[in-house]
Parts: sequence; C-alpha cells; structure tokens
Amino acid sequence: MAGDAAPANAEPSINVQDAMPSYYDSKHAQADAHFFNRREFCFTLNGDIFVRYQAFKDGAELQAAIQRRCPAKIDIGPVYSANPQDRHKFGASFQPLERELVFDIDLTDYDDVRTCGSGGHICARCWPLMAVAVKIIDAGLRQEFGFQHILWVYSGRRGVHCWVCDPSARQLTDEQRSAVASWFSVYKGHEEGKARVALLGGTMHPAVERAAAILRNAWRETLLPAQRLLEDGPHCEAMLRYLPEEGLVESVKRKWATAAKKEANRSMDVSLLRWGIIEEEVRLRLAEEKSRSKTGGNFKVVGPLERCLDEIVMAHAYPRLDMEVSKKMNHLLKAPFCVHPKTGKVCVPIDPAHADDFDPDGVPTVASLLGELAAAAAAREEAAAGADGAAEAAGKGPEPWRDTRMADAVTTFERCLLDGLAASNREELASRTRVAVAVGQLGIDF
Amino acid sequence: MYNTPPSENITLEEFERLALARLSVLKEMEAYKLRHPNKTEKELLDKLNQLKLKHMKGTGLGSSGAAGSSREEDIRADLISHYVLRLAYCRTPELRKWFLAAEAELFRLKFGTYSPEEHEQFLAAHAPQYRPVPDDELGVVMGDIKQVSWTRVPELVSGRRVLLRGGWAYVSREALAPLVVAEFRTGVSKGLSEMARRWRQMFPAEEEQRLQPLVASLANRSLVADYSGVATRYGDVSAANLHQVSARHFPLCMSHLMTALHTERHLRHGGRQQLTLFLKGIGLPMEEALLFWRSEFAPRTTGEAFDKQYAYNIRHNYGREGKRTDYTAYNCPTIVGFSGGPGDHHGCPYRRLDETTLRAALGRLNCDERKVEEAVSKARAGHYQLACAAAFEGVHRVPEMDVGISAPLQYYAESRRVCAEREAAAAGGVPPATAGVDAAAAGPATAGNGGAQASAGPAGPTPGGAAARVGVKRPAEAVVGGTPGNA
Repeated sequence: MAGDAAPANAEPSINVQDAMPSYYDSKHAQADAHFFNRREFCFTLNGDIFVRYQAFKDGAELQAAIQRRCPAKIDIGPVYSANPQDRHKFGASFQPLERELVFDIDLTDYDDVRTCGSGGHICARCWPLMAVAVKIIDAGLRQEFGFQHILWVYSGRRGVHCWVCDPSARQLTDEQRSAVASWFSVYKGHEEGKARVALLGGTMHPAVERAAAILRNAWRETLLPAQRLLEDGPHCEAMLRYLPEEGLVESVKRKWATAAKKEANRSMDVSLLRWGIIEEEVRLRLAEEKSRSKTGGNFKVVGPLERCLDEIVMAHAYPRLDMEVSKKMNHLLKAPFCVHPKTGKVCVPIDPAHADDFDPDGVPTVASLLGELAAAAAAREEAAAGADGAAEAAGKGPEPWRDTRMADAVTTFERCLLDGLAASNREELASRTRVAVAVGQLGIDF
Repeated sequence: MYNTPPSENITLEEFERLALARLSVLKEMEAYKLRHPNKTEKELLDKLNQLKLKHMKGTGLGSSGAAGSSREEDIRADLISHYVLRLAYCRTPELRKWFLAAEAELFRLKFGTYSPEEHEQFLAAHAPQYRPVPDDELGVVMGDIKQVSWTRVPELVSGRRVLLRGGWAYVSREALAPLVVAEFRTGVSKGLSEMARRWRQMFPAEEEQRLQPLVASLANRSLVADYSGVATRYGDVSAANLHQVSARHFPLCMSHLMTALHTERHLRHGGRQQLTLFLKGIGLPMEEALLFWRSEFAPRTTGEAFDKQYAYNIRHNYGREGKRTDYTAYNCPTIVGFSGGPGDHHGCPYRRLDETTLRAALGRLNCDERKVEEAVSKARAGHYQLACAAAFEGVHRVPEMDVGISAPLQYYAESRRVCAEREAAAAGGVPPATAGVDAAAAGPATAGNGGAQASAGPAGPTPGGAAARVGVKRPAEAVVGGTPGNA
C-alpha cells in the first residue's frame, strides 16, 4: 500500500511545509534557520523499520525525503539542542529543548465501556466518546491553562491527537507535562470490576464539575442512545454495580420490568428510558434518606448516593488519555496530514467546535484522493477541450490538491491553528522590535 | 533554603561526624517512610525529632531542646552537614536524585512546623513570585490566596488541588507548603548540578588527597538495600524450573503474573516489564528469559512474531539494547503505584484485586487460612506491603515479621532463605548462615532495615558467611560509576 500511498501522502505536505516556519518558530520564522533542522522526524518504512533522528534543512528537503523513501508513517519528535543527525558529537548535552504539548486519546482504552466494537474498531456510534473528549480537553486547555494555539487531529483510525503549540506549552518540562496530563486524568484504571474514578468525594473540583456538566448533556443526547449501554447484557449489569445499595438495584430492576410493559414506552429508546428510571430511583432514595433527620441524613449513605450517577457517567465517558504520550518531551507522535498505514485515511484536523459533526468514516483516504485528483485532471482537460478559456485558467493551479477534499482539511488547519499562530507571532515580533528600538534609543541618549 | 555555602575552617572529625549524622537521619527517615507508607505528618515529625536526637546529639544538630546547643549552633551544623552531603552526593544522577528526595522531605516536614507569620516572612524572602491576588479578580473574596503561574506548581496541578484560570494557579495557604518545597528542590537541584560540574575545582590542590576520598566514600557507604546477591545464592533459575520456583517462592504480584501469562499466553506491556525485571533480578539469564517468554507466548504468538515484537524489549531490560542501562527490578512502592486497565495484571494484587479474587489467589498459594483473612483485611485498609508480609507468613508458616515487604526480590530472598534453612535442618545439618538479606549492608543505610529484618527470621546465632555479603553493593562498582571524566 505504501507504494501508491506516497504521492498522495506527499501532496498535502507541500502546503503544510510552506506554513511550517511560523508553526515551528515563534521568534521569527525566517530569522532562525537553525530551528527547523533541529527537529526530529521519524519515518516508519515498510516492514516496521523505524528511522529515527532525521532532520531536514527545510520543507523542500523534507518533501524530497518523503517522496524518495515513501514512509508508511511519519512521526514528529522534539526540537533538540543540536541537529539530531549529529547527536553523537554532543553526548549528554544533546537534549530536547522544545516540543508541543501533545495528547493522545484512543478508543481502544474505552473497550470495556463501548458496545459497538473493540480494538481498532471505530464507527459513528463510538465517535461521540471522542467528540466529548475533544470538547472537555480543549475547553480545559484554553480556560484553565490559558493556551490558545491548539490543534486537534484525527489519528487515522480510532482516536484523536492534540497538539498545543503555544510557545509556553512547547517549553514545558517533563514534570509540568505530567502535571497537565494528571490534571485531566480522572479515570484511574479498573479495580474490583468498576472503573476507579478519582476525586469525586465531597464537592467536585471546578474543573471536574465543568467536565461533568458537558458529560451529563452528552450522556443523554448522544452517548447513551448511541452506545445502548442499558440494554440487557454485561454492560448493563456493570453499570448497576455502581449503585451503592442492593435494595436500590432491586427496585430499579422492578421498575424496568413494569415500564417495559407499558405500551407508551415502546417507541422510546430503552437505554434512555432505563436511565430515567435509575435517576428517579436514586433521587427518591436520596430524598427519603435526607428526610430522616434534620441534619440531612447520614453522610455515609447520602454521599455515595449523591455521587453514584456522576460516577457512572464519568466512568463511562470521561476522556481516557494515553498519559505516557503527554508526559515526555521526546515522545514521538504521528504527524498531522500523515496517512494511517493500516486504514489509508489521512490524519485531517478536527475543528473542536464541531467535533460532533466529524465523521471518522468520511475522511479522505489515499484512494479517494487519487480518484479526485484524476477526476479533477480529467475535468480540466475537458474544460480545455471545450475552449472555455476563462474557467480553465482559474482551475489549473500549481497545487492540484486544491481540487480535492484536502482543501477543506487544510482550510480547517489554517482556521484552527495557523492563522492564530501567525498573528501572535507577528505581534511578538513587533513588540520585540519596539523593545529593541527603545533600548537603542536609550543608548543614543547616553 | 541553603542559598550560601558556609565558609569557615572546621576539623576533619567534625566534618565527617556532621555529615554522617545527617546521612543517618536521612536514611532512616527514608526507611521509616517506606515501611509505614500511611503515617501521618505528625508521626513522621515525631520520628524525625527522635532520629535527630539519636544521631545528632552533641553535634549541635539535635532538636533545639537539646542541652547546650543554641539556635546559631543548630543552624551552623545544619548548614555544614547539608553542604558536605551535597558535595558527596552531587556526583552521579542517581545519587543526586536520592539526596534531593531525602532533603526535600526533611525540608517539607520542617516547613510544616512554621507559623503563619513565619510562612509570610519566608515567602517574602525566598519566593516573591507568589503574588497576592487582587480582591476582585476571582469575583469572590476567598480569603488568603496567592496566585502564581501554574508551571511553578506542577505538584498541585497534577493532584488537581488548585484552581486554574487562564494559566494562573490560585493557591491557598494550606497548599503553599508543597510549592515552597518545590522551590527548595529546584534550588538544591541546581546547586547539585553546579557542584558536579565544578567538582574538580571544589578542592584546593593540597586537599585533594585528604578530603576528596573522604567525601567520595560518604556516598558509597550507603546505597539502598539491594538484593543483587539473591541471583547467585540459591542455585540456578532457568526457564525449565521457573514455574516450580514460582509456585514456592514468588510473591503474589509475580505469581499472579506467571499464572496470567500461562493461561492467557500473553501479558501486556506493564506486566511484561514487571515480570522480566524481577526474573532478571532472581538470576534468570537473558537467553533463558527469551526461551521462557517465547514458549509462554506460544502458540498465541509464533516464534517469529515474538522475535519481532517482544524480544527486543527483553534484551533491552537486560541492558543489551539501546542505551544499555542495566535496569533493576521494581520495588513495592513503584509497583503499588501502578494502575492499569481491565486487561492488565501488573501492579500490586493486594491493591488491584477485589476481595474474592484475592482470597482465591492466596488460597492457590496454599496460604494459611487465618493469614489469608489477615492479608485481605490489611489490603482493604490500604497496607499492601503488610498484607504481603502476612501472606508470606501464611505461606511459609513463620512467626510474625513486623515489617512489610519492601520489594518482590526481598520476598523471594526471604522465601528461599527460609526454605533453605528448613531443608538443611531436615537433613540434620547445621543451618547455614541466616543473616537477613540486607542486614549486612554496611553503614547506616540499612541499619533500620537490618534491625527489623533480624526479627523476621527464626532466632538463632547467625554467623554471617556468604549471606552477609548479599546486601552489600559492590563498592568498586559504585566508585567507578561515580568518578567523572576519567575516560
């Protein structure tokens, strides 16, 4: 596959590489030529051969290398203190200096809570899990950490990647990266048959509460109906295990049975119906407990009751990050616009504001792009043959990919990341100049 | 904050005495924490004061109550001992890491005893980047809060113990301590690397013969307990007898992995790491390890696929690939800290298994019924290492050992020792040397450990033969590792 993948693979890179300087260098793109060539690229060649520590002078050289070697996969690493190809000369002083803060969320980590498939599977029914993860992490990065330049990319198969490109984010130490990753990690693995969800005791942290609010909405609107978690089966049993009292489970099951008989409920989604009953039962039980005494009931009973609904939602839908990817500056991550070696899908950017509308099965693939290119070329020829000169001139540019669906992907890339980054770089450059002028004038005055 | 090193002349004896006293306190504090991971601040502080009294009496370093030592004396001794150790521990990354952790812990405890006014003064003097929050900024007045860039307080961020907004962390007074500790860490860490860089110039030419060896030896006296001797003491471990050895001598975390591996014909990455490093620790040679894993992974994974996907990792763990680090096996705190998804088997089973599964697993180890209950209840209370010790007692039918297990290798070594003794006794011979694994480690490093160990084994005279050497880190190696720039 890699053979015919390569031309299309290289195609979007051309444009991306033109824009890379401003993506890579906040000081001034053109001023520091020794920035890009310290960035590690890793090619995965056919047969899982990794070629690490590659670096290129500029976009053109990278493009040439991609076209020559046809890598099945391209990973981007950190910017090192020296050109990675000369790393042996520098010994211990060869260190990573800068790297985008990255996140990787993968649907395989949700296998115990998704019903539609497992492993490499992805479909419209499990995408809501990713969409809600994108929304939560994106909002957190912007509001809490104050980052602005955030790129979300579909990983090509069953997950998403996130690149935070703010200058401050790129310079974070490994410890700080771990801290961000932990900040977002609520799911702490499995224990005793239940997902362990951290920090739901007492009042919720504002950040968790914000995430919970997003999740509660998404839960009823998309997640529950799409995943059909409450239809009979192991997932339904697992969910009931989160209810703190045996009696509660019993009464929920009884209500389910009676509700199923009602004619009116036939048309309603079973999962939503059953969830409504769970909520109702928990609420009733809570009210009963609270009315028992003036102090609002025994907190050992009330606490778990108050928490259990959120616990279920969080355990099933809170973003599960692959922490290791974010923790280390020198962790490699697949380049945006790369072609996934197994699916042939292009890793296109996702607009976090429209994450719900993203269709993982609808992204351009190598095959579809080649088809579109051929079609566009044919259309041009036809137009040329038709002697309709004006229309033909407009369509025939130096960038044939503009006629394919890659154009949309690049537009998203520009809108979500590049434009903002370029603007803030310009601003910074201007302010630096102002400072330089001010200092210069100071010198003259003396 | 130890910002300026002391400059005065002191005698060689005092130099060494102060350093050793501080070292003992640091080491014993560490051992104490390892053994009792759930102690409160107060208990830790009491222990610290008790240790200070024990080791630093008369050095001026004792708690201020000690007779004859003024506050100035205290500060002076504190400063000198800190800097001497800094000198001794700056030489390799490993030593630096240990020293940093130990000192930061000491500082943390000390800082906790300050009053609010002292805190305020300290912050103003040493950490001006903590800015008071303008009243209207958060919309609500929240009392005594400071704001600081979140990158300064990764510890709090990682525990979600602050409020973050737009890159600022809003920190309450209670949460301040770890921040200041972090600042302290950074300060000392910088000092250490600076010192390592300028190591050659640290000593005046005429002192090179006298002081340098003394300082260098300080660090060697005391590497953490290690069980490297276990590998060779009890005969060979090979792929062929591994399951047999496992059934008798492995702690639950490892036998659990062995079982999972054997039934599922596969282990996920975390489990593979935990188990290979342990097997390496007990002396399984690399070739045998490859053989073992390959046969366990078959038939689910073909030999060819195994070589492609997994063999590299095993060789890497043995230091034959990549940067060629000779990795050591995980100890309990590391393993307890692991978490994993539903398909993972690594981590500490006392923490990760639910009660029924745990009970069944212990039953399979042929553990005494009463001890199973004890282990389960300890595990439920969060004392995983004590739970493991209870299981050990139950499996081997030995009297109570009042320490927890601190590393799977320790469990293994103890198990082999107990069994070897039994066999020797059954054969009518004189029991072989029975010193605890690390009881013989020289220096103050494991004095606490050693004392505790002694009560673990059956009583009796224990002439330290070959066994006594088990815990001693080969000094030659440590020196070689620590000498910079000889190449």
